[in-house]
Amino acid sequence: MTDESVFRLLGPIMVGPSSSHTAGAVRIGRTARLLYGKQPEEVDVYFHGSFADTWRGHGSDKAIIGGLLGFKTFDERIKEADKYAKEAGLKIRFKKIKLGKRYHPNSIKIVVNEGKDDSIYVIAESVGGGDIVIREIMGFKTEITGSNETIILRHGDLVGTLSKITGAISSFNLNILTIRSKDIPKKDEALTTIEIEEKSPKELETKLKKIDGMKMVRILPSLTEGEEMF
Amino acid sequence: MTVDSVLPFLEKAKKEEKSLGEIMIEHEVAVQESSAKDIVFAMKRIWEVMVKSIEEGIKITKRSPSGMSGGDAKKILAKSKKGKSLAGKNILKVAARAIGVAEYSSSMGVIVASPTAGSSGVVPAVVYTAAEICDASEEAIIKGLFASGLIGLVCDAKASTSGSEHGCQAEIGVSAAMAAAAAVEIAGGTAEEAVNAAAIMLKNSLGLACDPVAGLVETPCIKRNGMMAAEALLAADMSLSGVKSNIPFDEVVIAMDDIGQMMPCEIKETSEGGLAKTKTGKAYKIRLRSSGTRKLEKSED
Ligand code: SF4
Repeated sequence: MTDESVFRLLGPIMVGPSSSHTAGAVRIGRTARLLYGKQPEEVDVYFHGSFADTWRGHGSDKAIIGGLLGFKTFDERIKEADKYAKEAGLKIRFKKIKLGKRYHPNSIKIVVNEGKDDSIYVIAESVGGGDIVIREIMGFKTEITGSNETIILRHGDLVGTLSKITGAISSFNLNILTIRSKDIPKKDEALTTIEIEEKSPKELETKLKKIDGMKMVRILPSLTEGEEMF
Repeated sequence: MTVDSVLPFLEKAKKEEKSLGEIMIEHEVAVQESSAKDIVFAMKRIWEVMVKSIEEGIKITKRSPSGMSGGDAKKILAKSKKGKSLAGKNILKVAARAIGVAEYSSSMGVIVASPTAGSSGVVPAVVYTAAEICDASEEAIIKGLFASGLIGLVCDAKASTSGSEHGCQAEIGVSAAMAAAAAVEIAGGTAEEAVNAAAIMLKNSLGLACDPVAGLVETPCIKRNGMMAAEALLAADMSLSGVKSNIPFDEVVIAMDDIGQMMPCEIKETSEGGLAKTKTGKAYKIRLRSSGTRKLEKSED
């Protein structure tokens, strides 16, 4: 939304009480869900910094559960998230963690399916006004804000994979805004994150999945998708 | 581009003999490259959520997990209906509604951040009550909301609308200034009168600390929504009576920025000073740790 719009001051419509500790937490939960790719069943949530102190009063627990169930920041069901979690078969544990000084005081770590093969984890910060920054995905440092659609890929670290990926993206006439690629520590794999300017078509996902050595393809829609006023 | 002065809007309103709300609808149409119909429709959605949050808020009886809030709106509203009131029925009503929305937000109800969740009670309550007093149409209400937008935009561009940056003057202070302008618009005042009301209101919020107890948006936030909503109505009336702010609105915003820069970070949402550091404030923090049904599991670190 542009800086000059009055809807920046009268909005967003959201579940209270806190844009950073409630709305931001919903989005962090939703990010974990999107990364996992389907409804998570076993989740460990770690509260760091101010979340560890104020989660109860801000309903951050329900907010994260809501996000893990795919709810948006204005969804009234968040208030009764525990009930919906039960229905969805979602088991969730909350713990306190000290991630260290490097991390923003409003950080959350979410681990899905700890110890299993398809386990994923993410560390994200709630930086205010409901905005979040994804700082780490499975040991890989990132800086994803979700203001754009982001493609997250895990692939064998094969020579040429990256050019195949960018080739696939440009074949749909999509503009790449940022691209980061790095080896995952202790694995023969790399993680690549790509922010693109437009919304990608479904076919892109299919095409990316077909690339040799591709292990995971996730498309994270822009954070505010479905929350627009217009 | 940012909206950093009210002046071009005031000039346009004067020249074209339009109200501030009308000018701001035109502005939004230009910004969104959309039609007036769609813009107004979007604001109606905002208003619907605001009205629902008022209706739900004044029904709340349950206390929040911290034990600091819940049920106050209902009490105040009951008082407005029965017996003598020192402040007057409208003041009680506007305070009850603002506090109700803030309580609703605290209990995870759906609200409109205006400009933030912590300050979400003031604009809806003042607009609702002003409309009730003036018997205003929905069209007037929507224009009032648009008028309030200009005030918020300038505050945001030239200072801040975040308690962590500039203290509560930037949150509830700004929301009250926005509400005062909306109330003037709804009462049929000019753009100049609307902005003047916002200036009077904002001057009286300068320096307001953000020192929430236990880090929660409850104390002082919830009752402050009520207090400042009452003040916003008064600022609107003062402006409509012909009283002028000696310092023009744009400059009041600069003063707010100046003061915000000087404020220590202990009273900028960190809960390290002020009310959060009082004996009782600290006791609430400790009490909160053991409330509710969910407990944190033992951590490994
Ligand atoms: S005191 Fe702080 S947290 Fe409370 S409403 Fe004001 S700015 Fe927001």
